[in-house]
Amino acid sequence: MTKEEINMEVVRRAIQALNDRDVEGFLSSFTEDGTSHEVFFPEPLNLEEFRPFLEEWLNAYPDAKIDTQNMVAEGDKVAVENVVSGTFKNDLSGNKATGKSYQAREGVFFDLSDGKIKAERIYLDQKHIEEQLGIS
Amino acid sequence: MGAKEEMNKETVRKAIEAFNVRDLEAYWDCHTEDTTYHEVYFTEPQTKEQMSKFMLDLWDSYPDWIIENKNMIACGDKVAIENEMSATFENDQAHLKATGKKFIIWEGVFFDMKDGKIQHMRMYMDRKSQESQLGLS
Repeated sequence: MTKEEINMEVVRRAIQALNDRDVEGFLSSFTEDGTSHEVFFPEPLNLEEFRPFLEEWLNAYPDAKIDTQNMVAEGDKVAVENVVSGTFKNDLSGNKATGKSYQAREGVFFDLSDGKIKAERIYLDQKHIEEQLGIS
Repeated sequence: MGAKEEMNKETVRKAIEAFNVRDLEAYWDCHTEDTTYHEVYFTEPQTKEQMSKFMLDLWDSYPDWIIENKNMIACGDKVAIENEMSATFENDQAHLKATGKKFIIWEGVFFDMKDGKIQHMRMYMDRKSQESQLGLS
């Protein structure tokens, strides 16, 4: 396998772990100093900050699903386009659950090191999601 | 990285540069005739004609809109980039009153290329953050 194929497989497994609600499996795809830069936070989160956010997010959207539509890799970089969907069943970050569902496209860029994710940066439109969920 | 990837990256770089110097003709020279753009501002992909109008309106409302590329990767006929965009809302846009405020935001953009030209573009960014910085929300 090429470096790119190995890195794409790491990203695929990480996404599958999230779809399986396996937070520890997902985080094990990261380096110890790995970070995630979500649009919901002004600064990147380290893994200790990221873990509770993921757990709360999966609790809020018990049917959350990430469907990868496209993947581009070069060297230690991978970029993916996903369709993310879920139903807002439980309160999250001060927002009351509305029971409504959303579906949104996102672009995610990964930097990898030795077959692990060192950084991820997520680009998505919160406004589009909040409009669908009735929290705008 | 192969010659195809390098050529595709160069096309994307030229398109960004053409955008930054407001050269619409040079911009569309980087695209196929049937190119489509899927921006977060629209529910459906836009045609070249629709995007031309949108960009001219954008440049009028945000005269200093600039795109600075921060990351670019390519594989075959696919290119993915991360940019930092910034602009000041100086003139009214449609029903929106200019606020004189500036935004700085990152975006992720994916391109499907054909024969060294951009055929499809899909852009991802957070309008909530942009509108907050501009004083629109």
